[in-house]
Amino acid sequence: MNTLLNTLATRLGFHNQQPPFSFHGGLPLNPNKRALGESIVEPPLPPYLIIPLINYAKQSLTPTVAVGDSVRRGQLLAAGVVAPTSGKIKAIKPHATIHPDTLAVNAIVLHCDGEDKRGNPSASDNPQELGGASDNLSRLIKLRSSGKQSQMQQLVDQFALSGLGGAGFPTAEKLLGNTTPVKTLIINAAECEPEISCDEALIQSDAIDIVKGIDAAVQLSQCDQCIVAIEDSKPAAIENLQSALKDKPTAAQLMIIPTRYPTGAESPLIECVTGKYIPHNQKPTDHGVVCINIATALALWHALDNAPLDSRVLSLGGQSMPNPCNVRVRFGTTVNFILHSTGNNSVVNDHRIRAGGPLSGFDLQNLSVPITAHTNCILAEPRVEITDAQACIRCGQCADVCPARLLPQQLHWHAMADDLNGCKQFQLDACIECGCCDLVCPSSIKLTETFRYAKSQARFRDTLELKAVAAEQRFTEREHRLEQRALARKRAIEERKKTIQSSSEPDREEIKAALARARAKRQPKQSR
Amino acid sequence: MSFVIPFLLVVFALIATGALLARLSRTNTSTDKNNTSAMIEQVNAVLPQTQCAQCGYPGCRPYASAIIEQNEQINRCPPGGDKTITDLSNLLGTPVIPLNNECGVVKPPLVAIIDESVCIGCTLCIQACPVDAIVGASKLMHTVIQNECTGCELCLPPCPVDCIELLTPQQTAADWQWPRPA
Ligand code: SF4
Ligand code: SF4
Ligand code: SF4
Repeated sequence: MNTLLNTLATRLGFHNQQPPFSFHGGLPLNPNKRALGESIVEPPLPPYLIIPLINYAKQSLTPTVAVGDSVRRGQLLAAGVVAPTSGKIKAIKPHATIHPDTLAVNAIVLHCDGEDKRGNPSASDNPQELGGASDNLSRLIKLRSSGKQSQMQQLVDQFALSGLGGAGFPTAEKLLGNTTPVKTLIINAAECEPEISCDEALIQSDAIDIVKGIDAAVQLSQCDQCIVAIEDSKPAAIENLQSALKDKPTAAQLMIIPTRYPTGAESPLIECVTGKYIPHNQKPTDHGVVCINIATALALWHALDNAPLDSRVLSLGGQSMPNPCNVRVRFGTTVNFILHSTGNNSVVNDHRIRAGGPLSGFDLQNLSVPITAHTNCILAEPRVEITDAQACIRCGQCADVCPARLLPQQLHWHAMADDLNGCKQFQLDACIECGCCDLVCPSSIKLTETFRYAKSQARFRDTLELKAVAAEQRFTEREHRLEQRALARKRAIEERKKTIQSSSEPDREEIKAALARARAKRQPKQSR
Repeated sequence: MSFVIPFLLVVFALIATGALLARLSRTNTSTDKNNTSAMIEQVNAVLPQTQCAQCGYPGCRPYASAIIEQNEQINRCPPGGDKTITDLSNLLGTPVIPLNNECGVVKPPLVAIIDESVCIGCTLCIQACPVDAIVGASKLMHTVIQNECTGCELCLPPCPVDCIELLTPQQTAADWQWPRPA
């Protein structure tokens, strides 16, 4: 009877919230999820892993291990970074990374011993012995409500939990670190970019644990409502989520949103779910909204269950990929190894290999680069001639599709003129680099590329400006200090002079007498 | 009597205008002063804050004062290069002129590094550094705080053992820039 009622309620849409809103712009793209198969492929452990020592904000990290150390899986290597398997640290040196310019970053080279042993070899170093998942969850909630920040942080640090969406922002901070109360927690299962289907594959295989993770996120964030947003083009995943949500009583509700790129990006998604467009210079948390990726929710559950985040599922796709699939790999596995171990080695020499989706990604020049938490996709595409850009015909299509409500044609003009103030005026910062404008431009103008360029220029200028302000402050402080010192010295001399002048006559007499005695003593010597 | 009243009126009027003028001119001088210091601030904000003294003044702010108060040329800042000259000319409405080569030449940004095995701990470089970017103590090893160093080269001449070198800073992920599209 109960199940019947439930089905009825679901049919009538009581359980599934309909999205009340839409977002500006965007494009209906062919999802093209060729990587989505029966199951997730699990390649073997590679002989070595490369872990770049850099965080989501591109700041370098200091390693807490040394060359020659033996580590176990889950052991902390640096703040927010754990060893993805057991083995020996062979080197800590700069290594090429997934980067448009193959930039080298200081990295740990870990030789895997193949045993994949978990835990900390020196458990006594680790006062916070971890319990089971629900123990850890209630402990965290208790620490949070009693305001024990540092203990909470210590526990959270062991999770190594960074977002598995695009930016890799530390998730615990999102859930636990907000000052304004969380009204809406959005679990992002939209995954709107073509070719990428790693989250969909996870939902199909792990929906029960995902829902446990969502429930944990709800409890940690203390949100008023939680909405799981998923695109209507994923019927199998929707069914899995629905039945998992039914089995576990939680405050989360499923919302099925239209399939339209880029709904999965944070600001369009928030606009779609809440109807609020959050301007680029404000944070979602200011509006009581927190958004986390659905794969991150699963990672949260695993982390609570003493398995810190050290691997991810990523999609192998693209027109030329012979064997498209979703693979689960440890962080630090090289792209080369992944392609070889999944039967895709034929593409490595004569194709364009891309990291990230067809719109958000970039071409790789070197395949010996390690994947990280935010590598969600690897594509193999045929090499193509780049079509030359024509002049802008001012059709305005780019503005129509821009989810950030920008005027890309104007921005392009300012960006190419290196007029950063003009770019600022037209809100370059708000561009989410979705690539919609490129897709519609009849003149094939490389708009997004130009915006990436101008954005990095503006960022660089800002850091230079900050540096100049700091230098000027240090200079002024030093001037002030030197002035004070000189003044103090002058004052001391004057003080001294005054005491000499004001000293009483008898003293002077005494001095005179002493001088006379000294002279008298010297005289005989001279006359001799 | 009929003459006196208009006469008095004229006198009053004159006195009143005089007082008003005096008052106006007083406010004028104080706004002038405000203007001058505001202009110095604006010029200083355009200068790169390297504090290298290549302009012939002991730092960026002193040079900014000289530009405003003594009509100093705007082409004396080598670290700022053409960009600073253009910005200054836009700000002050004066023509763009080429960099004065007597002050120095344009160089890529550099940072100082101390060879710590050679340093004798004489503290002379600390005293020379205009932005307090060197830490160390007497007879102990010194080091440059890379982030604070402006690359002004002022620590090079005082070092008795020549252990300070200027290097191009390493490219970091945070500073990396996308190439300019063709
Ligand atoms: S890439 Fe930027 S400018 Fe172009 S449509 Fe997307 S957000 Fe708008
Ligand atoms: S879509 Fe292309 S041609 Fe049309 S206005 Fe935008 S930049 Fe110009
Ligand atoms: S360390 Fe040397 S080069 Fe760097 S700011 Fe100080 S004096 Fe100038």
